Amino acid sequence: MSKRMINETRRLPQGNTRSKVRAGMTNQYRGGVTRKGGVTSYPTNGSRTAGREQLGFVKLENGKEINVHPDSLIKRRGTGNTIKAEPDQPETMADHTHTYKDESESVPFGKEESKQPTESRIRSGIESGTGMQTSQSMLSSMLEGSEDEENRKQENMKKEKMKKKGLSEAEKNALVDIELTETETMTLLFIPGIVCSDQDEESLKATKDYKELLKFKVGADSYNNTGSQTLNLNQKVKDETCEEMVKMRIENEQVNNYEIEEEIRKEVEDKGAEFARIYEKSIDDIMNDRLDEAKGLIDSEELVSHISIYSQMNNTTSQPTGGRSVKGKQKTKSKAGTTSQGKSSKNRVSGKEGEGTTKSIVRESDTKSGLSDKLSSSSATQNYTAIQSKTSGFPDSLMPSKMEFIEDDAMLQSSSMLKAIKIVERLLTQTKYHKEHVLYTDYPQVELPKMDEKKNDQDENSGGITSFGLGAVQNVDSNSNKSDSNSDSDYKDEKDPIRLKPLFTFECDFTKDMNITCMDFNKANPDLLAVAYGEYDMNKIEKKNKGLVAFWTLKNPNFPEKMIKTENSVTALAFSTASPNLIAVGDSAGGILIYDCQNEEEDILPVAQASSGKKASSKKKESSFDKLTVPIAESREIDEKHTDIIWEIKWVQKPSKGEVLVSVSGDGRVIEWSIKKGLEYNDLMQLKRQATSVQKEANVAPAGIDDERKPGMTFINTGGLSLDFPAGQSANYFAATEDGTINRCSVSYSERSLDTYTGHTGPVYKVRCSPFWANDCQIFATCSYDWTVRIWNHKEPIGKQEKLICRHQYLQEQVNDIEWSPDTSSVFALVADDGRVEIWDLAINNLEPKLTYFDKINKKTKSNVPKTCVRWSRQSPVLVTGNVQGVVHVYRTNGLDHVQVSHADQVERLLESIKKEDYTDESKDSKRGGADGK
Amino acid sequence: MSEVDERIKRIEQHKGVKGIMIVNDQNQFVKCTIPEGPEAIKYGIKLREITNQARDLVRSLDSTNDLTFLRITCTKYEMMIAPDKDYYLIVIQIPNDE
Repeated sequence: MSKRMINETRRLPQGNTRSKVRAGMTNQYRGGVTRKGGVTSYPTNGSRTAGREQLGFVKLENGKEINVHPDSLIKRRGTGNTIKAEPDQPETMADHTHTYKDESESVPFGKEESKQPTESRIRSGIESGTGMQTSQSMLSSMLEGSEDEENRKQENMKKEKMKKKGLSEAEKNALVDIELTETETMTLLFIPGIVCSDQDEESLKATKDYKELLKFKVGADSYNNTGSQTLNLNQKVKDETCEEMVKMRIENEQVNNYEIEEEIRKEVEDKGAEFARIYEKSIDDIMNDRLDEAKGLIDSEELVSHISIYSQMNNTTSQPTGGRSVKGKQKTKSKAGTTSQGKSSKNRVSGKEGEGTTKSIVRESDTKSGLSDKLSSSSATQNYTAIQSKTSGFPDSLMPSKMEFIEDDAMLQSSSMLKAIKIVERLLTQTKYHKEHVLYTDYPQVELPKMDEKKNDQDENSGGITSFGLGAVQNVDSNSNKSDSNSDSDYKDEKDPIRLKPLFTFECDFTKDMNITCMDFNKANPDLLAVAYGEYDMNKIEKKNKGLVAFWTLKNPNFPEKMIKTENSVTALAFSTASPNLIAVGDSAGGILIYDCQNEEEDILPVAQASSGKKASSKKKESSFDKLTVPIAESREIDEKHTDIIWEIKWVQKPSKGEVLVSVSGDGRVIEWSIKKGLEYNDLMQLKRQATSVQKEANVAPAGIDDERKPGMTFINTGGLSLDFPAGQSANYFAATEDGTINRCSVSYSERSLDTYTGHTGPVYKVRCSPFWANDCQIFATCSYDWTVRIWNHKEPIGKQEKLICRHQYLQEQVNDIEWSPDTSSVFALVADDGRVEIWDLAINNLEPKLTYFDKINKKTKSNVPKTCVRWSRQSPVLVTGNVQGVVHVYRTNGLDHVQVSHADQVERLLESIKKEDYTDESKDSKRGGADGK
Repeated sequence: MSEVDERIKRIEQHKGVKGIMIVNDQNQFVKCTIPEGPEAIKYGIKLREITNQARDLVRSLDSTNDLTFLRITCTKYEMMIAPDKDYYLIVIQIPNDE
């Protein structure tokens, strides 16, 4: 047994030493002592506290013993203070330590070890050591009992000390070394964590088993598939399992999408930089080659143009990344440079621009060298862009100092670009004409009073907008210009003066100096105005026979939304009501053409497409300006088409046939066209010359239809100039002739006209039925070459139908066009050949126009450009006029605003104003001496 | 002359239009009617950047949405940018310039 104990003790120091070594706390001195194993080597010779205690211990407990085994001495030395430790406990502890040590040798428990506080380790080490040493020393002393000189000396020393009875001064003051050594780590409790992965077989099996179990339970009554809250057991600390550490850097930065994009772009830029370098290299090569040549000439222009482009990049050009590949590239570059050199010199001779040659070098080198990876596919232009892209995404400080241009025709011509441009154009217009737009649409605006003031000022200053009041007329002298301004200033206080304020002029290069022949507002989009351009004069037609239809909107007064080019002058046009996208055009050659204004051909055309779908699909429309627009239907192939200028076209809604087109031409025929199956015609009327000539008619009074029936008269055809259907009617219509007569005709009776109205002494240019047509109010107006506008009432007995002659005494030009106001029954507007616009309100004054207006060239001078056309806007308080120079003027009318009244009221108003005229007409007759032959 | 060219010309002739620029993603000018120089570059690049950010905003609010037009009205100018995938059409207008 004793042997075992000794072994134990021997082993223990070993373990201790080892643990010390491991802990890195081995004391050299202590080690030395251990090796020597002798007390003699003690430097202080028992003067140390420990030594003294040890001695005391020896004396107290082992006083009798003389011989102490060196081993035990060693042990004893450091264990003086744990004398009471029982032998059993140290033993087990030692055992434990030992076993633990074995474990630690096989399994590294670094963590456990390091976790344990050093202090406790020291203590436990001491304890275990002490216990063992104590028991061992007792045993050894008991067993051996031999004497030793050294021990004797010790005894002597002890005795001396005893004599002294206390510590000597030297002893008290002596320095004491206390050694703390680390001993074997001891684990008191160790429960390793159980970690298993999801893919672990056991767990998988458990899961599987559980599922199997569930399958059996599904049908059972007690089975209920619900979620439940299970008790949360205390969670065990789990061992960490960690993947390989990835080094990450944390930077406090927010990243937006575009920043990411920029990062990506930078990569492209790097590529660009590489290209730039290659590029420079190629230039250098050219330079070198040239210099090497005996008579080498350097085309400086050729190079400078490029060097300047890339010089700015020199500073920022990034370093090459892959040396080898770059080298290879450079090599090929130089090769390419030399090969292209001859070429470039040739080019130089031929005066080709340097840039082109250098570009070609790059392209050549590209194809030849077959630049690795992505670069190989890039063309020369791509190179170019890549180089230039270097400058993108830089902050201000690095803003490129030079603009760089590329040519990208494909992109320029793309449809999206066109769309963008269209948007921009409209917006530009919107910004520019916002005020006018507001006025146009009659939108109530906050600044209105202010603007009115401004307008008043303008009017006063310029004296431009002429406003005739009731009394003004009497003051007007022959010197009208002056008196105009006078009257304007005199009567500016007059309530509600009618004024015209010019808003826009629709004109562009295409329409310049083209005669406006007709205008029409679209029925669906009241802002869309179609304007026909053409020439009436046959001589001029020959010179430029191209006709034009322009579609203007207020969205852009500077350029039409769309244009239709025709072979012949356009003389008439009309929008369809039933299908507003269709426009009928009559030209100077007698052709009727129907166009679809929609751009998209796949859109279904309500009327025309169904009928002439074949035609429409076969003929692709071209939107290009230079080409003629192909109509969806035309009358060219029809033999019986008109042979003369078509003067007017009307769409008429027929109860049975749907919408038909009625045209009147200079050849005197009135034809009804059906577009259901292409263009089908149906002669409605052949206008006949009246029995009496115009001159005769003027002399013989009263002129009536009776004259027409005179036997023996030669029936000669006459040209029709205008026709109009009363609103809402399709059976009867009025046709004006160049004889100065107006015929009322029926669509179902083509032999002769129902009624003929005579009175005009010149060709009747326009006939217009009042928009407030009713059974008891069948009033229409005509305008004529004879300077007059006449109002007729169909209901009156024959001979008395001419109700009113509206002729201003200063109106000494033919009246080209007349149009009733759509809002007020008694108001109409006319335009004359001297460029005047007159607005009449019969209810207020049927003798004089409410307003006579001239366009102004500048503040003082009036424009006398003949106006040919006048239209009221259906929705807005706007009047448009067209002149012979291809300019459409858009005016805002002021002072015509009135409350909405019923149709009957309107009729009454008109009839009232006409009635009043009976009286004035007589006075007028007396004044004029029966000029109109009544 | 194509329709685009014609329209650009027309816009150019528009009263108060200071300039038209077409810039692509790489800050290259496809077209520029402003006299070459730092001002033109500033307009081109800065407006392109703000348009990018505006588009970023629009798309972050609703990813199915996209910016079609950007108009900046300031005391002196109106700046209109019509962005597309590949380019930015920029027009500077001075509205009160008669």
